[in-house]
Amino acid sequence: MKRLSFDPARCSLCGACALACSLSRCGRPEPAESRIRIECAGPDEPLRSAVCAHCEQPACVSACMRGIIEKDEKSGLVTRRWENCFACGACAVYCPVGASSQEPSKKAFTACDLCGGDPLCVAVCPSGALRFEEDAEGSARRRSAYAGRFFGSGGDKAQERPGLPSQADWERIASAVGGRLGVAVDPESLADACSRQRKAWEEEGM
Amino acid sequence: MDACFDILIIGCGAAGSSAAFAAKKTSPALSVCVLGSEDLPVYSAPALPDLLSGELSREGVFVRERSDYESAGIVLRLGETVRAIDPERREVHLESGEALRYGELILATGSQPIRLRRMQGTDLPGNFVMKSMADVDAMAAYGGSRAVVVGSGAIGLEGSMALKARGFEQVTLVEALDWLSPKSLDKETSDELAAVLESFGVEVLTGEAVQGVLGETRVTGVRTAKRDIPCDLVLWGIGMRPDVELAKAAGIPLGQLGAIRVDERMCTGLSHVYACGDCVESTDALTGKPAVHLFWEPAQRGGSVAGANAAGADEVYQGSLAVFLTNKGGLSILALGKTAREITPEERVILQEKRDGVFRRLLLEDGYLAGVQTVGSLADADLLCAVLKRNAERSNGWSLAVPVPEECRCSVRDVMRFLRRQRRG
Ligand SMILES: Cc1cc2nc3c(=O)[nH]c(=O)nc-3n(C[C@H](O)[C@H](O)[C@H](O)COP(=O)(O)OP(=O)(O)OC[C@H]3O[C@@H](n4cnc5c(N)ncnc54)[C@H](O)[C@@H]3O)c2cc1C
Repeated sequence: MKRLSFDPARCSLCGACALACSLSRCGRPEPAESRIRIECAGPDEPLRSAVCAHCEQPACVSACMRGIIEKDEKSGLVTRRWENCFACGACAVYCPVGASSQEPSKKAFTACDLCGGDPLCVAVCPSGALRFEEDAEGSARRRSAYAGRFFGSGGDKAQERPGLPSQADWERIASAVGGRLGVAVDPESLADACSRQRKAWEEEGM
Repeated sequence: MDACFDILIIGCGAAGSSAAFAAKKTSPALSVCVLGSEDLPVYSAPALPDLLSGELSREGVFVRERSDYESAGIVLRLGETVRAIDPERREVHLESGEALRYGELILATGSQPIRLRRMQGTDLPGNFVMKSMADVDAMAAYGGSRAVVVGSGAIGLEGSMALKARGFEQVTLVEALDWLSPKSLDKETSDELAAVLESFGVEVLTGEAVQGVLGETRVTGVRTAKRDIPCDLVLWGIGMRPDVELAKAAGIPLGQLGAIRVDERMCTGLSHVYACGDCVESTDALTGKPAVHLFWEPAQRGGSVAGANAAGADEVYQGSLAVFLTNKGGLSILALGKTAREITPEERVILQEKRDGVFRRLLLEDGYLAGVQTVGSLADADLLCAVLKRNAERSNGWSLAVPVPEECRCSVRDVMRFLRRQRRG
């Protein structure tokens, strides 16, 4: 199946993915409403994405105390009827990647549904750190990146974080989000909100 | 001729119901029948406190509807109680007198609330337990404005909050031991929890054993070692016990803890008989020791494994975790792994903090994270749970467990930062 894949070496921690996600979920730039989070354990530490991996044997399915999380055999998607969630929190505790959290506006625990097959976070990611690709492509790329770390450019720690998006990038991101939501999005306020998001992530890691 | 099913399941709770759907999925051609005493398809017992408080409607508690079984091709026979199993003839006998034959049998009889029948007054109207939807209905119909809740496990805690939210003026939680949920929590965590309960208007009395229930024709109070507490109803939350009566009578071997012993394929010691859910004894994923875990997740997962295997698959059940988790009505608690008393003082480092209203207590054993207790938030629950599980594999030799380095053992913050750094990719 096609999944989200994340390349930490390419991520600038710009925050666009989470902002776009929360805008599309609740109409507000609200980090807690985003279904993707980038975790930053310190300035020189590699980044990590916390987002639903649509696991082969999802722990959340048997943990869910309302039976509303299911693995769709055909599409491979882990879906949830979150309208019926009573917020027991078990999916969040059992998830091995930290992909499930309580969306304040819904009271429910939710996780990434890949926007139904065209993830907005991938569309807005300015550096190509987030991709939406078949498992095989993703694992081939991860293998070569891994080998590169050992034999090539010397360890993931030393790698510099890529630069933040340019003015032109923000304009492109704003128009992608705006296009999807059918509203006008101001690139400057989007950039501001993203920078707050980035600071919050950096502080979480401290 | 008696009816015969390839797979017959006793109990339509989380375990039995999961078993039925897994069996059908594994082998759609097999005939599958679920029998349940309660005249209801599977519902979420963990949601019952929300039904009691009024937060959820009845519909909001069900996990499956009758039509779900039908469309999956599962024969559902609710309101039917099994009286006996005859493993020689591969038959079960129903209370109605009917006998059913089976190819494979799955026991998913669950658990029963512990009741103190010999204690004075416990047979009076006004004594309640909270195990089934019928129990909640009965409590709701009985009414009253003052309640005593006995026991401070999940049911006592959630029950007292729910009664308060329902509008009871006075709710008193009584625990005989020195602090709340001592099997899962240390005293310090219990103190935090008690403060939260009190902020919601629940009075908490610890170290106070209940000696009897007062009243002539109905409950009027509870007597503890220290006082009489006037009340209209008593909710008993003093524990659940695996329901093994049927199994015992049929000669199905029990484990050392008194529940039905199963192997990692969920087979009992008797051929053609599987078991799953609250009635079984399996393995604690952290300690590797036999354990009876009366929790939802193991019931569903164990049920799926039992159902699939009874239908010809070869799935393995890798034990379960005791996860003490409550997240409702402003009360958020998580406790996993060992408490302080389970770690020798020489090997133990305990770190604790309270920041932004969130209480966190981490216990290290020999440098490895071994216990977690939090009050106020479930943030990082996934990380802590994953680390505990990984550390438990330490004994396997090939484990990826990493101790917290000496220099990070100074504060919860330092440990959390280290654990986050460890987790990547
Ligand atoms: C109020 C409450 C709150 C809870 N909260 C949590 C929580 O927060 N987290 C958590 O992990 N767990 C929680 N639990 C525990 C969890 O609900 C159980 O572990 C789980 O439901 C067990 O499922 P089961 O199918 O094994 O057993 P049960 O739910 O007990 O189902 C067994 C079924 O079998 C039927 N049966 C028994 N004998 C026969 C027979 N002879 N013939 C026919 N039918 C029979 C019974 O009537 C019953 O319907 C809670 C439980 C309660 C009661």
